[in-house]
Amino acid sequence: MGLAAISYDTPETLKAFAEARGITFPLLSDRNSETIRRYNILNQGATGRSRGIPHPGTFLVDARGIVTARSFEERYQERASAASLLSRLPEGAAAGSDSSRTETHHLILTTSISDRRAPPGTRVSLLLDVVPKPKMHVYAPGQQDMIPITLTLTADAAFAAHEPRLPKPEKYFFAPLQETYLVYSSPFRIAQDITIAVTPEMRKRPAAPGASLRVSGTLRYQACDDKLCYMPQELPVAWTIELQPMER
Amino acid sequence: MRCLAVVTVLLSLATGAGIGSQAGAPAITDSGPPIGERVPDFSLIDQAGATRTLASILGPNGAMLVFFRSAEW
Repeated sequence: MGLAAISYDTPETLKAFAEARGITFPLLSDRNSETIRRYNILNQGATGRSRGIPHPGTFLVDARGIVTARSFEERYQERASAASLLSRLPEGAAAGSDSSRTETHHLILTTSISDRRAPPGTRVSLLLDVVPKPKMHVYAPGQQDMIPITLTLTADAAFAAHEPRLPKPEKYFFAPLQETYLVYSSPFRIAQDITIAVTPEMRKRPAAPGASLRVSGTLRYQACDDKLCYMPQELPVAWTIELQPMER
Repeated sequence: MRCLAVVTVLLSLATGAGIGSQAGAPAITDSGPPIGERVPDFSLIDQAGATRTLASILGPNGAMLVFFRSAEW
């Protein structure tokens, strides 16, 4: 996958920056912000030496240049990590870091995380890969009268949870009842993004050695096979993120 | 993976105070090419003085285009 970063700096400034940080991928000089304007991401409110800066963010594009994912945050201090963005692509379906496996009668659950370490302000993806066992299916969000698969995180001022992302469910026609249900019967991924809070307390936390943020919760689901339905289950889940200091 | 670490640093570069979203401005999350649309072409000079176009950046799996505020401040 190609990679390039664009800013309004001169090639000379970018050269010094690249050398200082060991960057080998292209840093592109958009000196008069023409490209920033053409991408319609110019920060109109920026004045003085900031005049011409973009709203910072990232586009993921395919081989034809078509946008497959993008991340532009409202608050300048909140930024999706690169790994979190890549985990949204089908090619990014490889497990994240620190995976942990749980098996029940109905399914195999593997949890992982896009970033093992991150500073406050970063948006990371908590990943739950579910593999229903043969003949099993679980109910998807939107399915009435059954328990849809739901991730609930224990609330913590240290992070803000975003809406979870799930794939489109399949329609399962159950002949004995002549009814169609919204289910997942093939392996699927739930991506639950969280943004690590930027508060005075969170800024100080990375200073302590081994400082980390633990996110815990439960995954509730109901599974059925082709003959009967099982009791709803609740699986405990947890992820740990090592906290890094914020840049500047 | 080092590439990703550097990109994450770029993505987290902070600015001076006072620059961010303005109340009443359209949400930045709505601006620019949306998912499904092709991004505009460009032809820009890189840190080595070479001209790079969008086509030259795109690989068989596409590309990641990161817009950041400044390398200088």
